[in-house]
Amino acid sequence: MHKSSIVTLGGREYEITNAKLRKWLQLEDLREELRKAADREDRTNKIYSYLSVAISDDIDYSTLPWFEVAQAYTEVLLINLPRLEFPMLKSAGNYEKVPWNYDGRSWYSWSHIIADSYGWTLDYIAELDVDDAIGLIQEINIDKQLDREWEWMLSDKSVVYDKQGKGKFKEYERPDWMVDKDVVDRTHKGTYIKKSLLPIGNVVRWSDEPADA
Amino acid sequence: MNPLTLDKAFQLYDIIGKYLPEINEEDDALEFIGTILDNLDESNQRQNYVDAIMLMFEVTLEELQKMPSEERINLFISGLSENKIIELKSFCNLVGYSYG
Repeated sequence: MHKSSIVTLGGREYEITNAKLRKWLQLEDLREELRKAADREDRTNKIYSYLSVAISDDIDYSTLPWFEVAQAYTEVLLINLPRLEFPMLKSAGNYEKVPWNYDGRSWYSWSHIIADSYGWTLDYIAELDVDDAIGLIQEINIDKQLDREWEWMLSDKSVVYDKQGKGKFKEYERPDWMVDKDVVDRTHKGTYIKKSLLPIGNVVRWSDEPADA
Repeated sequence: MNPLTLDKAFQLYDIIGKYLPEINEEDDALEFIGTILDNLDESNQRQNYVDAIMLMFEVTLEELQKMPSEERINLFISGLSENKIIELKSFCNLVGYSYG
């Protein structure tokens, strides 16, 4: 879906459009770097880098009034938000640091997953609509997870034995975005009644009433 | 007065961030700045007040000392108003910038 907006920087208007997948991942990486920025200078430079990727690198952002830069940043951020609420994006995101990570890996990781499933070229994947790409990645991840659960179920590891030698099925762990938290809550905590709905004062039951009353 | 660049605006936030009240939708800029002045006054940290004016107007301490106090207050108020102090606080919240 094409989205666009106009921002004014240094008295000149620039049209901004929502990014396609490769550029969007680059912007998301910069947002992550901005979140981790160590100091004022670092944070300022990350915002300028973000705008250079999203709008143009011919603009000297360091000479512009802060509110023009902030307005442009906010516009770019809003225009690039996914339209749909993908559960995968709500994940807690407690990713482990792995030795094979590097700056800019998101693009190679995402494109690899999509290319592996659909056989599309990198150029084609780079120009995918962001919502389409996230939706596809989520479906691929679900397929992979369900395949793993099936394999787990057929393996010896899925049964744990207690001291009496009685076997019990042990579920394969799901990522948090695939867990129905309402079901888990109902299973483990029971159903709660709001305090406001509980009866007030002494509760008189039919059985408490004198028989001749 | 030229509006501050982003780096300088963050610097301003470093200086007066702790005196900024919570943003209330109904507040106008003058009320907001009035509360900042009250908070600065209560804190007895005049250095922050002076530093903020020096940053916004690129004046030296000597130049500032020669000014009558009313003029200094006017500079402070107009500086924060021109630099959209309420929006600055919102933006700092958005990008996770905390005063240092």
